[in-house]
Amino acid sequence: MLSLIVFFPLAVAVAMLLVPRTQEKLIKGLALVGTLVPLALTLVLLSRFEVGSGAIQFQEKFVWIPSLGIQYHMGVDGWGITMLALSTLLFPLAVLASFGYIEHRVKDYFVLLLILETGTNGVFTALDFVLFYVFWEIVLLPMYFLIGIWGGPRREYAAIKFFLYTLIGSVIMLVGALALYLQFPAGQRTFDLIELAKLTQGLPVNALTTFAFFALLLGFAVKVPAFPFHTWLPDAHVEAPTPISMLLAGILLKMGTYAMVRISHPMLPQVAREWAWLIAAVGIVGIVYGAFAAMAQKDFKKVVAYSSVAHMGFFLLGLAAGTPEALAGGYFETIAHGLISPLFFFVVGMYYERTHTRELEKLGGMFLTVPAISFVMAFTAFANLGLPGLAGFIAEFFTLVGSYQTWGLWILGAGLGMVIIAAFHLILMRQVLMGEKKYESLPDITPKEITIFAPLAALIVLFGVYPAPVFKVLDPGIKVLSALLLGG
Amino acid sequence: MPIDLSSVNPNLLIILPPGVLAAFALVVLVLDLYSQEKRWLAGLSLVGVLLSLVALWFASRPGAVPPGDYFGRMVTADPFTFYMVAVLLVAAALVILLSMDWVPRRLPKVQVEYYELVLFATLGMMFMAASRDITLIYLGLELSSQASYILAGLLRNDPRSNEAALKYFLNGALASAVLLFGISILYGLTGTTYLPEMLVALGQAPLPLLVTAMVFVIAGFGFKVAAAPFHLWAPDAYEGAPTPVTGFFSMAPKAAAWAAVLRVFLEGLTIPHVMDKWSVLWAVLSASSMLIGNLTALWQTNVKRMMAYSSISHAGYILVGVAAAARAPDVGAGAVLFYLLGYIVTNAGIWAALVALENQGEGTEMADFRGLAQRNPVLAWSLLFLFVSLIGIPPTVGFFGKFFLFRAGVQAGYVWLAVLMAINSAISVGYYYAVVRNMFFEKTQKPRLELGSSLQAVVALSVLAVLVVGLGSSPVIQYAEAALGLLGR
Repeated sequence: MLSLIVFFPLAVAVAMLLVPRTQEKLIKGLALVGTLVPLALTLVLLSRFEVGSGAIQFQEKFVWIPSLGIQYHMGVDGWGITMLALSTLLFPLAVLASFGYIEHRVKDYFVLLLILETGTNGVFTALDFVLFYVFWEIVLLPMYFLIGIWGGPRREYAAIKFFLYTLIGSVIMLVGALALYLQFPAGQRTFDLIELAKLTQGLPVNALTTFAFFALLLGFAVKVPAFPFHTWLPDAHVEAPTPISMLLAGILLKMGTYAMVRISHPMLPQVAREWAWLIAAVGIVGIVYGAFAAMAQKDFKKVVAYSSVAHMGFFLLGLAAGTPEALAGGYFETIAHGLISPLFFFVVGMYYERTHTRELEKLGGMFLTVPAISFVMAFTAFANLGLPGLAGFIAEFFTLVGSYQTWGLWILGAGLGMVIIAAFHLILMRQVLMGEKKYESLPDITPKEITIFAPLAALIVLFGVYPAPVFKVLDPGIKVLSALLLGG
Repeated sequence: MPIDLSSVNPNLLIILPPGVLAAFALVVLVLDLYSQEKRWLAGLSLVGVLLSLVALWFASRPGAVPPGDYFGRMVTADPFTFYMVAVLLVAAALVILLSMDWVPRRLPKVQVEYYELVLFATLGMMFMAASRDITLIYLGLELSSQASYILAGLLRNDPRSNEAALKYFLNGALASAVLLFGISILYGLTGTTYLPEMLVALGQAPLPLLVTAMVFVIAGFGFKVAAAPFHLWAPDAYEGAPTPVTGFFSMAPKAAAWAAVLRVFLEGLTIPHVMDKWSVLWAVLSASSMLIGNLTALWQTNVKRMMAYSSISHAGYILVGVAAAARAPDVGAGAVLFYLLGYIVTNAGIWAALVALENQGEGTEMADFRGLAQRNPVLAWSLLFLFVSLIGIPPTVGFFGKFFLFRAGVQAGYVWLAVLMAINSAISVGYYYAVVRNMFFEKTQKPRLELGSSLQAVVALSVLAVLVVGLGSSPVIQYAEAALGLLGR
């Protein structure tokens, strides 16, 4: 079942190659089918998912390269299935957002998009490091082309920057994983993430494990992106077309956060404990820096991009704190952000399609021009700044409460960040929504746009008032990880 | 029905693959005199290579030839030999296939000589890989080198081809001399040219002299595999030589030289206190090759020349495995053997594209790749896939090759070398990207680029092999790692 979810989009992509370029309707239909089927299958899995069990579920295990202890091992637990659900939800929405927006080389675009989905779904389900790495890297190339061909004026620069940053991070991560793998005598060696973690947890803290930990963390931190490795993100976001920005913020960043709770921290909790202060510092700096940077931007998309940096800081802070509340809050932040930021980028896209500008100075008075879209914008901005009752609030609240137990008053730094985050969102809303009308009449929201807005908004509200189901799914994993990170 | 070969003399069986190839080389040579139409002789050469492969399959079946040395200890039967000879034959077959349209156009007067030389060069390389006697390794090296020098200069009216041949010849001759000097010292120290005996005798040899010999041997082989700082001849020779020949150079002779390096160092020089010395020397060459190759490649505007520097950097990657083999022989050598196969199948498709451009009367400058995605989308995407393999991104054979090299390096304690290799893989994106950018993001008015059936076959085989050997690397790497274990050390 998991393999089907992962490889179905790829199969559709291959089938799409055979469709002639001119049959755009058929291609679009195929793209929708290729992304909706994994969503449906994931919903089926969710309904069958045994909540409260910490075990890996829906496992699939086959021999791949036995002499090296490499397997084809798929499976999900709470960490994985939430991300898988997020990924399979966002892809059909991105496909929908592409209709009417992507007009040239349609076939190439959707083929790449489907390959991308195989990569992301694979990352969240693979339980063998080599398999994980294969999916991790499969994501790179489609993304590179999606930005590089369909992006804005500086698309080539942004695309190659994204590519190089991620590649350098991930090859060093590979060396780190190999160093860990080779710590054990020949018979025990395995790349199975679960088995390997059991072995590596017993290693002493020394130069080699510290190297391995930071090698892994570097690969993930670039993707998250954690300060100071975030500089590719604003460029990539600004140049990427709207649907790709949605996926980039919604899913690709989560690959990094997921990998931390799946690989670097469970494998080397002893090293993570030693360096927790550093990760917390990176998190807090990220929150404050991201918030200030967002405030200074003149480009709407850059504001949203930097706010992502700030929000990912909350995840790092929670991870570094290691208490159950902080971990739950931090991971919930990745889910909430995965729902809110795609919507936010979509809002930017809606304005851009109508006004052909993203410069905040040229927008203004939008409440009067396009009230419905502006309502969506206000809703999203409030969700993003952490308004109680919406998903972002729960995440940030729990992160701070949990982190306080570990870091004490240092979390005031994060609190300061939250204030700035709120401030720049209010400034943003004033600039875009209030003021004099700059455009006489623009078409308001279309049914297609409502279709994209509605499910995301519904989930944001639902998780804002009733986050319990998500926490229940995550709970066993959180308990295990927290015990590892806190235990001496 | 199983064929019973137990009554056949294994001496004959082990010599069958090179024998078939030599026979075909001679037959083609004679037929050239009587045949007006030359094209079919290319096909005949290809058949010779393929039949040689079949013969190899015959000889390599378990039980057909018991592992050991034959022909007065000159020719060895072991998995290492079988593996390398198979790789070399595959490379030769791909090169012949690659040249079929090109040769009649550019070398109308020496068509058959071209294939002759490829066959003889391959024959020499097969012996390089198949012997544990340093004399025969050297003779094989010379046979393949002499043929290669002529191949480089076949475009007789092109001064650059002449330059390439001259540079290749002078440097190659120097390298041979240096290598031979090192070998002669080793012979003087031990009184034997047979590697296993040399190993035993070296135990009492004085260390300074031994290290001197080792340095000469490393320098000689360093020239042959174009490892920096012995690489300076390579870019000129690569750029000037006829394009399919350059493709051939980047694949086969180097692979054979690597086989010889592994043989000489892992079978002849595995005395503990010496191993560490040559390991470090190779590691230094590895680091310099990666850095110099990659950083210089970034500035190239000619794709042929760029590929030359790229191959220098790949020599650096392979050297990680060689250096690691001193401390972890099976893993290190296995990684090298696997990488060689991966490098050859990947490169074949890229050279096919360069040949295709020349077939249509265009050059191999970066600018000639402009808008290739418009002119032939399938080729452009295939090339992209092959570059991805050269960079080392999954799910390609290049990734698994690098992965095994990483593993060997880290296991042997060369973590710094592995990290350097990781960084270099990222640097290499820079120049492959230049080609990709030209292919996909630039526009052109030029007409569609047609490939012809033989080039299409090479590209298809290349892409398929990159995917299949990559994802199905398990049996290959197992065989490659065991290849050395069965040498009977």
